[in-house]
Order: sequence, then C-alpha cells, then structure tokens
Amino acid sequence: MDRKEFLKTSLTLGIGLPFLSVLLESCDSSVIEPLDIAPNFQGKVLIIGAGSAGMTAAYLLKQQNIDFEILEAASDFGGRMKRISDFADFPIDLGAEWIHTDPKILGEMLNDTSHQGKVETIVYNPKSVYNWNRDKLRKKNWSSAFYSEHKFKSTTWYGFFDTFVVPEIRDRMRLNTPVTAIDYSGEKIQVTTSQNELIEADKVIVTIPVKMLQLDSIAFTPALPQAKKEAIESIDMEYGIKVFIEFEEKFFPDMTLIGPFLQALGDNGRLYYDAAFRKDSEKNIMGLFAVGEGAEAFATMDSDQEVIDTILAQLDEVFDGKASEHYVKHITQNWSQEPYIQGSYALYFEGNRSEIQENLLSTLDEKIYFAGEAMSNYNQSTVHGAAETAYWAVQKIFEGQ
Amino acid sequence: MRKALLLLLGGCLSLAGIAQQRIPINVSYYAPYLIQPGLKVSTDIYLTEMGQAEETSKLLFVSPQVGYFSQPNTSRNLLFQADMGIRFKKAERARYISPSVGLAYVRSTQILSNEVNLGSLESTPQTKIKSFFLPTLNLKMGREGTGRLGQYVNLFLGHQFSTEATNASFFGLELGLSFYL
Repeated sequence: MDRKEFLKTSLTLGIGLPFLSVLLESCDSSVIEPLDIAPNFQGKVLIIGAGSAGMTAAYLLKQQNIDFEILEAASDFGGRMKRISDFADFPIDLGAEWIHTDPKILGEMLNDTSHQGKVETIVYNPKSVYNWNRDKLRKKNWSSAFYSEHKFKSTTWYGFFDTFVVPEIRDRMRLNTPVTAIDYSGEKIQVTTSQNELIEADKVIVTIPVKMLQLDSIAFTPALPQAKKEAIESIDMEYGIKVFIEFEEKFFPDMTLIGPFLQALGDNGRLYYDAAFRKDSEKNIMGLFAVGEGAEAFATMDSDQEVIDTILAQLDEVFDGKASEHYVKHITQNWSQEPYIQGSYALYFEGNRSEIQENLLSTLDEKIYFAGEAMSNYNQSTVHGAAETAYWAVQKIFEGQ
Repeated sequence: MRKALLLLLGGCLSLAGIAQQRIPINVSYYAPYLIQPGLKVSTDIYLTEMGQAEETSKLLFVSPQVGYFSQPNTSRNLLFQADMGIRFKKAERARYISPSVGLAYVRSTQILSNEVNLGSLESTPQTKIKSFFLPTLNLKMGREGTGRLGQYVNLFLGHQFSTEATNASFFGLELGLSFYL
C-alpha cells in the first residue's frame, strides 16, 4: 500500500489514526538505496527523455564512466519539472513543486556521500486552510494538523537538477530530438529520431511519460509484449494545469480547497494556495494546482484568457470581488497541451497494481529498460519516485539483467 | 515556568477541602487531532464534595497537567494545563465520569525550514517558538478499582488562540493509566 492508499484507507475506515503520524514519519524513511555495485557492463546506453528519471539515470551512468547519451524531444530538459524565474521575486515551479518525502531524498538521489552541496527546504504546513463549498467559505485550520510536506525555499525541482545534475551530463544531452522508433531485434539496438537519424546503442532506457507510450509515439520492433501494452493502457494519466497569479494585496489564506472538503483533498481536487508560503518574498502569488476532473474544465479551454477569466470569476465569488480588484498578472502552464507530456501524472491504475507495476518495469530482451514516475511502486506521481525507477533500471544494467 | 506550576499545584492543594485518600498519578498517551503522538502526566486534586444523590458522589476537582506532543517533522509542543470539573461516581461501581473545563498554555517549537547536506544527508532545522492558549471542554471516562491501577479515556475539544499563530479548533483523545498512591 503506498502512502496515498494508506492515507485514504486509514481515513476512510477511521482506524489506525492514533498512530498515523508515526507511520507517516516512517514513510519518510530512505526511498533510494545507494547504488554501490561495480557495473558488469560495457557499451553505450541511450536514454530517451530528460526528465527526473532520464537525468538521474544519466547521472548514475556518468558516475560509473559508462558511455551514454540522452535524447530529449522538447527544447529544454526537465520533463514535468519546469520553472519561471522572472515572474516573482523567487523562482516558481510550473511543474513538480512539492517534495513528497523527507528532503534527505535530494542527497540520496545524487548517490554521493562526499557531496558538499546544501539545499534549503521549507516545511510546507499551511496554517490557514479554507474550504469553498455550497457558496460558503469555511475555515478548516484544524486540517493543518493532518498535513505537512516540504518544498524548496529558494530554488525549484528544475533548479535542483540544473545545479547538481545537469552540469555532469549536459555535454551528452541532445534537445529537440524526438525518438520515433526503437528496433531491438538485432544485436545492437537501433533508435530512429524524428529527423530520421539512426543511433545505435547496447541498452536503451525509455523514460518518456506513460501517456506518450499510450499514444504510440515510439514504434517498437518487435512490438511491445501484450502484457506490457495492457499495463501501459491501464494507467490513467489525467489532465493537469497550474496557474500562478500575482495580486497587489494578500487577501487569500495559505490554502483554499474548492468543492466538498474531503473530495477536494483527493486526486481530482482543485487547490488554490499561497505560492510564496515561507519563501523570502514580498510578492502576493497565488497558485492554482488542479489535476484530473479538477483540471479538465481549464485544460480544455480554447485560450489562456478564458482560463484566467474563469479563475478570477471563481475567486471573486470566493473572496468578495477582491481577485479582479487586485489582479496584476498571471502565467498558465497547461501540461495537457505540452506536446511531449500531454497530461499530469499517473493518477489511477485499473487492475492489480503490483501486476501492472511488474509488467511496466519488465525489461525487453535485456536491452530495453523502462523508468519514470508511473513505474514506481510506491512513489508514483513524484519526482523522487521517477528517480527511484532510474536507480532500478541502472542497477539492472549494472547487474547484467 | 516550573515556579508557576508549583504555585498552581500549591494553590490547588490549599483549596482542597476534603481529605483525599488516594492521590492518582495519571500517565496517558495524549493524541491531539487523534494522530499527533504525545504524552501527558497529571494528577487529580479533590476540592470538595458537591453532595450525594442516589448514591452518586460528586467531587469537585482540579487537575494540573504537563504534556508533550508533536506533529512529526513539523512541530514539537510543550503543554501546561489545568482542568476543573466534577467527578461523578456511583458507590458500588468502579466506573466514573468527569466533565471538566480546562485552560492550557502551549509552547510550540515550529520547524520552518531545513538545510539538507546532500552528502551526509544531515538536516539542520530552523525553528521558531510560538505560544498559544487553549481552552478546552473535556469528558473523562474511567475505571477506578480498589487496587492501585485505573484506566481512563479523555475526549477533549477546544480552540487554540494566539496573536502569533493561526487560531484553530483543537480536539483529540487521551488513553491513560492512573496509579493510585
């Protein structure tokens, strides 16, 4: 049972509550075990995708002096990690934002006990929590006692990779290079890019979003086994959108949940939050985070203007017209319209979860490996979950599996 | 703070109007919001008998308490509390029930941020101390045998007030043992 399932089940059944926080703390224990085995492999590894999983895999291969190359379809690395530095007086995560576990995971991801780097993270424990439901705004500050996570204080997930990972792998990373086909029928794997370039490798790690696998953006030869195809199809990667709005005044609480309270807390919720919470900022920045049903209405709108008009209208209703009155500017990140992402993250799995995960992670002929947040057993939908699967893929390669 | 507690305890004892045969020392698992782990130590001092009707004794009591609870990775809290209430107990029964009102002072050390060393994985927290007052309504239900050990559960509901922290409802339970001296 992963952290989300555990929370849901415990809260639904009302059992285990006295020990819930202790157990949650134990959920924060080490996620990634150090990779300290000598590689039983020589050859070239091609990594498809430069998100968390792809870049972590590259970083680990670099540590062991294994020949590798990353092919990224988009014009920048990061995948679902993205930042904007000039919107406010602190960098903002347009994609992955929260650190959903103990922040020491950041060190674990780097697999280097002699690393001298330091990162400051905030304890994200919003104190003023409001719920807008049935045309009424109600205080739910008590809920602060049930929720606490972490965020970066003065950097972002993108910034973390940009500072500590990318400098090690940048010279082997090719942007604007979508992969269209992978032929693993021969001794060497042949990878074809959208420019019809043919690249050969001994191993390939596929880290593209599961939605792109569902859309057959890469043609595999031989075709993917039926069990793997079914596992890929069983994942629901829903709509996802983030919007950040600057206001002249701070009229909003740390967190505002829209809709029935418990439902708003769930995976399909719509959440407005103070994006500058505990950051060193003098700006009033509100964030909207919505996935699944909560995001669908926004993500399918025709224009950015329609999105912000709808949001301001809703906020005016909640905060007595103060949103339009104090609005300064906004930025929208619609992940469903990113051509090489097309959604948020793995939200639901239809069928036996462990069976699905096993099929997702299965290696093809000891040549093609899969990694990414959707492949993580217990930490799907997180950056560190994606990194965790990169460790698994690299470990399999090192072990000659 | 220790002086204040001693004064409070001394004041309570001086008010005690009846000779107390058995002084309980209560030790409980204290769980604000049901999920925050904590520990509380308290005693009950009986002040006066409120009258006896249908073999039910009614004792006015005060209960000085010291507690600790935490929200893991988020805050550590010291609590000093005094409750006043009436203890209802039938003569032939071991069970009792004690509704009471309480007032607590909570000193909360809140972790605002952490500096993480990426090599050693050591984390250095930056904290800030905030205080709040906490009036509560309590309902304690217990069992007091003739031996030296009793058990109780206490449900509480209150509201935390502070000028330096966000006000919020406060509720939870205690599961405790009473050791009778």
